[in-house]
Amino acid sequence: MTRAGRLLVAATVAGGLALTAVVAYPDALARAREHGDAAPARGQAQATPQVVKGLAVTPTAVARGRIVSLRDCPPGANTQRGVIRPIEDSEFVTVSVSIKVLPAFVPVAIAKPVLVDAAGNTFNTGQAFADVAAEPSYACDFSFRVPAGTEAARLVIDGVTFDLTNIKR
Amino acid sequence: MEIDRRAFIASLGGPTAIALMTPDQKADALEHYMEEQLNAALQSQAQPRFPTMADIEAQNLDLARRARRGAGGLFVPGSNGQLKRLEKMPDKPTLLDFFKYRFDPANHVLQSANRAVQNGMKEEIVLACLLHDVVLNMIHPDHGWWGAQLVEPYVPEITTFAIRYHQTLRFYPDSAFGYEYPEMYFRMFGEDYTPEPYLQRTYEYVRNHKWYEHPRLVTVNDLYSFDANVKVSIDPFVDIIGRHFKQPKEGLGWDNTASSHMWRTMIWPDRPL
Repeated sequence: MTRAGRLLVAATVAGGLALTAVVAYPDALARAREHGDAAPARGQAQATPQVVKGLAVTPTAVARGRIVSLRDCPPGANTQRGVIRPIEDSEFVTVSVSIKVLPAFVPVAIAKPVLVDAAGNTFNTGQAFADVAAEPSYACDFSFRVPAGTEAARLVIDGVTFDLTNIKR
Repeated sequence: MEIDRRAFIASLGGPTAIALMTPDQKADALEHYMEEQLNAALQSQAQPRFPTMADIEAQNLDLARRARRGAGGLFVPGSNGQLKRLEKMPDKPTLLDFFKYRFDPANHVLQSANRAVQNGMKEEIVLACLLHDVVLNMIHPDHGWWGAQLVEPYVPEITTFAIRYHQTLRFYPDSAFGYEYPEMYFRMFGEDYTPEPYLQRTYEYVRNHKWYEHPRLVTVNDLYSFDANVKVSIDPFVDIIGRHFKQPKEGLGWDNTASSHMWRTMIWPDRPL
């Protein structure tokens, strides 16, 4: 990180502004990718927030991996993780979203997200929205099993479509 | 990477200490802090090493272990190293009595049934989720078949089907339903495990069966019901049990069905013969 950049970030933090930092540690991030873990790096280009039944939802990152957490949204403490077996030509695409509960929110069921690729194929997840107003804001990861190399194009949550093409992988 | 501003400031000694730092010192401190956080995050994500089938077979050669892997929960010490304390059961035990006296805490199956309700599944499947693993108190290998046999005289056929075949479908991911292969199976069976031919044949049979979705839905609720923070009571399911579980007037174990002996085994797990 350049000196100017470092000073800007330091000033921002010390100044009390909310911050999602852009971290420049290429070696460390490369190591993370080698592990094949689908936990995405934060701070990448974000889509515009849209409202889904009283929740402001913003996709923040897309990642690929072979082992994923299966926790619901907001994340609970489910201990189970999903894996791709060595014999399978599949992978997980994990889409991270940030969520803010809006004042207008009223408790209502929200459908599970669906991933759509460029060809229009859809992919499901077993991860669900549960007790979504438990916290005012939180982040969730939804993972989808896809054929290896599938490019995620859109995320659909309860009829609301989010474009993922501008979100860095 | 997200920075917890308060934690960062606290790590430097608070706002007063920060006020005494030069901008360069602040920048150095922040960079150091972020590097530590990133390293910690990466360590927590480190890829675990899973056993192979050969590793597990080697473990099974240990004849000094406290029990074989397939022994039911009533017969082996728990994580505290002790056997479960068992109370005498009523003379004519009901399914609810078994939940109270033998299956407790049964948190996993209660969570699973609770999730099935939340997902709007039919009551026969909710019942299957509630009962799908209770036989693990008696025996583990082929628990789908054992579990189905245990309840078959008392529940709808669709419930028995779902319990019997959920075990097989657990080995086969199905993205259409959002069911994933569990990492836990890498640890239990080995990373290189592939289902034996009898499971492959069973899978083909169930996959082409008109009731395929029923055991599949059990697996989906199964996979997402391992949350230690979620506590579910049996109370919401009492009515479903009442509608779909044919409670014998003699009591489970004493009604002379094909599975009465299995219920008696759980009533008397200390019986020598």
